[in-house]
Amino acid sequence: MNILKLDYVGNHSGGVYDKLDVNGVATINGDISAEIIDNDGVSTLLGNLDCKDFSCNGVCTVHGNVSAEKMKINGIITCLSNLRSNDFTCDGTAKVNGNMRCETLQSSGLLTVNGEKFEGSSLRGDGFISAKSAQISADDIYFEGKITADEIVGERVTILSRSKHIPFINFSSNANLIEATTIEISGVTAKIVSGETIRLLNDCKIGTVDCNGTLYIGSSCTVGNITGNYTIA
Amino acid sequence: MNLISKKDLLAITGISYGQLYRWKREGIIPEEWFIKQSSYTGQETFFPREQILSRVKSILDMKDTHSLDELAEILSPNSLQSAVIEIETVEEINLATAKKITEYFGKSAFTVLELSVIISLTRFVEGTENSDLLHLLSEGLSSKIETADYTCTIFSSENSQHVLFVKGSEKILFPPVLHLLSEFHLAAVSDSLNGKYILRRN
Repeated sequence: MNILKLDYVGNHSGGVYDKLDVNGVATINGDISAEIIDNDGVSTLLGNLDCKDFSCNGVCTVHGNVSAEKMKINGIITCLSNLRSNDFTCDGTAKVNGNMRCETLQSSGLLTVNGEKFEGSSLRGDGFISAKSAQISADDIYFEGKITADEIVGERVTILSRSKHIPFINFSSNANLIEATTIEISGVTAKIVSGETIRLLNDCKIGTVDCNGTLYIGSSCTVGNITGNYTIA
Repeated sequence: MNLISKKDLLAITGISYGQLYRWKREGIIPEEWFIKQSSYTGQETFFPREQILSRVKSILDMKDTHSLDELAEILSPNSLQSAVIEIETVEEINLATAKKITEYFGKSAFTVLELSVIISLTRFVEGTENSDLLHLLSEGLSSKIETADYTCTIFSSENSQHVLFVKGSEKILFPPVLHLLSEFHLAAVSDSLNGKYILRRN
C-alpha cells in the first residue's frame, strides 16, 4: 500500500497514493489523488484534490478543485475553487468559493458557498448555510437552522428557521426566490415564493406568493401579494 | 425571440418545478435557456418556446426507459456531431430523396445535426414548387454548424432560394426584395431525431 504520511512541517510535491495522512503542517504544491485522505493536521493544497474517502479533523485549504466520493468534515475546510462530492457530511466548517455539488449533503455545521451554484439530490441539515449569491437546487431540501441564498429551488423545500438543539431559539432565513412543488417554511423572509403546495408556518415575510394548488398562511406571517389558482388550506 | 414563461411551460407540459430544476442540474435543459426578465413581481424566468417545448417532449418520451445520465448523453450537443444514422432508416425522409442525397454527397450515414438540416429542408421543399433541394442542402450542410442552437431561415431572392443559419433564436428582418419562406429552430428537429433513432440504435 502506497501511504504518504506528513507528520512534519514542510512541503511535498503531490502525486497518487493509496492513503494520505496529514498530522503535521504541510503544503502540497501539486495535485494530490488518494483513495483515503485523513487530515488531522494543517494542510494547504495548491493543486486539485481527488479522493474516494476524505476526512478532515484539522484545517485544510485547497486552492484547486475538490472531488471526493465521500467527505466528512469535523474540522475546517476551505476550497478556493469548486467542490464535488457524492456524500458530504459537515459537522465543522466548510467554505467553498466556487460552486458546490453533492448528491447527498448533511450539514450540522457552518457551510458557506460563494459560487453561483449549490446543487444536489438531497440537501439536509440543521446548522447554518450561507450561499448569498447561489441558487440552491435539489430534489429534497430540508433544513432546520439559518439559511441564506439567492434562490432555493427543487421538488420539496422545507426550511424551519430554528435551532434544532436549543428550544425557543429562532433564526431568520433569507432568499430572493423559493420555488418548488412543495414548500414548507417558517421564519423565512423572501421576495417570491412559488409552488403548488405552500405552507407558510410562522413568522414568514413574503413579498409575493404564487401558488397553483393549496396554500396555508400562518397567522404570524405577512404576505404582500398572492397570485395563482389556489385554495386556502 | 418567441418566449414562454416558466409558469406557462409548467402548465402546458404538466411537469413540476422539481422536474424542471432536476433536468437543469443534469444538463438536459441548457442553462442558457433560462432567461430572466423583469416582471411586476421582480423577475420571471422565460425560455425559448420552440426549443424548450420540444426538449421537454423528448425528455418525457424517453424518461421512463432511460436514466437521466443516458438522457444527458443523448441530448448533449456532442452527440449531435458524433452519432451517425443511415439516412435510409430515417422515416422522415422518403426513400427516393434519401437515395438522391446519398448519391449527391457520396455517403449514406449522416450526423444527427446534418440530418436535422436535411429533414428541415426536405420538409420545406415538399411543400413548395420550383425548389432545388440539393442546392439548398449543399448550402445548409456546408454551413459548418456546430450546435443545434441555430435558427434555419429559408428566403428567396428573385428566382433563387437560399438558406441562412443564425445562432440562437433572434428574428431576422428582411428587406422587401428578399422574401422569407420558412424558418425553424434546429434543436426542435434534432431532439426528436435523438429520441427516435439514437435510442433505437442503442
